[in-house]
Amino acid sequence: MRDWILKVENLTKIYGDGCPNCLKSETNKCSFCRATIAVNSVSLTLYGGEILGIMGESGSGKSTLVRNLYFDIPPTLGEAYLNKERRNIFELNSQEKRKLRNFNMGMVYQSPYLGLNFEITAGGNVAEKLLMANWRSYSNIRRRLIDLFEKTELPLNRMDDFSATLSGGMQQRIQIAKALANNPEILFLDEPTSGLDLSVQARLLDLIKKIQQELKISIILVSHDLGVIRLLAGRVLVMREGRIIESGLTDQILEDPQHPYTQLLVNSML
Amino acid sequence: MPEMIKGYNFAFIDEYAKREIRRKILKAVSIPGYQVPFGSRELPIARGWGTGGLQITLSLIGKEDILKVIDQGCDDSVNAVNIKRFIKATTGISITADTLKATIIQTRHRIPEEEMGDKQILVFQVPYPEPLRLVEPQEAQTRRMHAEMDYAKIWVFLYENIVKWKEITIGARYPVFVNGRYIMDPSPIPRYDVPRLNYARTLYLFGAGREKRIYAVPPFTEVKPLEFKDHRFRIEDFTAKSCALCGSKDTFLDEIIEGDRRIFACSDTSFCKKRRENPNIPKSSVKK
Repeated sequence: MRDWILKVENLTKIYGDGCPNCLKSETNKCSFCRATIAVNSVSLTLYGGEILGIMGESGSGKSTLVRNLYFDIPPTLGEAYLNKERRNIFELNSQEKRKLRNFNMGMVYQSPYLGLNFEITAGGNVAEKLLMANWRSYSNIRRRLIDLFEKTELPLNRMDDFSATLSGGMQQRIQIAKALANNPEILFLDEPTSGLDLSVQARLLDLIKKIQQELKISIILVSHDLGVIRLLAGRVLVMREGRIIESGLTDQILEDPQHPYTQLLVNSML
Repeated sequence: MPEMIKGYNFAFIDEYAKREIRRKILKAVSIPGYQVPFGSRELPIARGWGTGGLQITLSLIGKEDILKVIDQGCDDSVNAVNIKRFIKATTGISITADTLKATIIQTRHRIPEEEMGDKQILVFQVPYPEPLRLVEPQEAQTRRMHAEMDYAKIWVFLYENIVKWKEITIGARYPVFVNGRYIMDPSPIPRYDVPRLNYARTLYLFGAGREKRIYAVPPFTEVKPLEFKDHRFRIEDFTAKSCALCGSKDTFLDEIIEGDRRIFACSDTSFCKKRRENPNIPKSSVKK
């Protein structure tokens, strides 16, 4: 068995005051207090070098889950541990969280508007991560940027253009370059290819696959697109109404789904 | 100078207000580079015209003090003269133009040329105390950034400066890193004065009246301009230029356009006067 990298236990995110009945709720709307339970008692383990897929319909809590883990949104309950950081990472102070976020994690959001600053250049967006990690030599930063741009197949001559002027596919690549800048252990991909046309999607997926094999990075991949999941993920969790309803090897889940909802989901595939 | 006016407390503001400001100054000195909020009082001059520096000066000043006020190095400009007249009228203390004789110097945008000693205090008037305002408009965000030492945004600004212009284009208000902890706005002093904040013998106090902040650089504190290893901070270049009045080559010069002629003259007028009387007078009389 490979070593685990990230362990999540009973992660819950409730929007609203919440009540003792919330966690027992079948749906993500508590019938007693009307609070929204976006993520309900989710436990998962991410192993070294694997791609763990999370699939489910929109509103099932997939994005909230990864944003909890990336410290964008504080969870209501639950614990998470990194292999080397044996304390509950949600209990760290904001400076320690920032450090984990910068050095151990990378994130690619569905919308580049969430992950990039459009007022600065493409290179500047990636350099921000390096500067956070106290890179203080301009020429070293430029060298690292060229390296990352080549790795993510971004045109070098667009490095000093404003991020807003680049195409959607390129913006997603900038996000990936930014996420990879400090060689993180974990990469969160939140619907990285939705909204892109098919050829760009395919190239981006190839790129993710290549990077994962090259760098042996562990990835949590959120997608509602079963094709993307099938192509990339080795293991998959199915989420519905904030809960994990089924989990297993990707082939097993897609070929022989057990839960009625998963069966419905797989049968709806075009 | 007018006679001392009656009916006001010594140094105009009341003793409770002075005590609050002194307490905030102590806090600022204890945390070098940290901006301490204070209750900025109404004064007979408008906010944004040196009221922050003025309130620090008024809170510290005693009957024995000797005051000097400069505006961009000049003792005789309107702002400096008015502030001096106001303090004189409410305290009766003596005023000087000599940097070495003053116990408190209030300044707008310059550090006097002559090196100050450890018994003196230099009070800066600050228009914008927040160095991160350049890259982040929200106060709540900049406070969080200072608290977490999240300074990447201003570094990205410097990085992009080099990308665009091959150098950092900030002139005055060059951001500095104080005591290895806070990034601080040194007030709009020229780059020339920035290295003189580092390990200085004098207590430097900064007051922003409109923005209601006090901060400080205590004596012998490390103050480093933000720079890249391969793009070093550099000061204004006065190579082959000298003061048209006193001939100094080692001072900060103002460029003056006279008709179709450009001449340069010392920005520190009192030191220029001293040099005209004795061209060999050194900038530092401190024994080391």
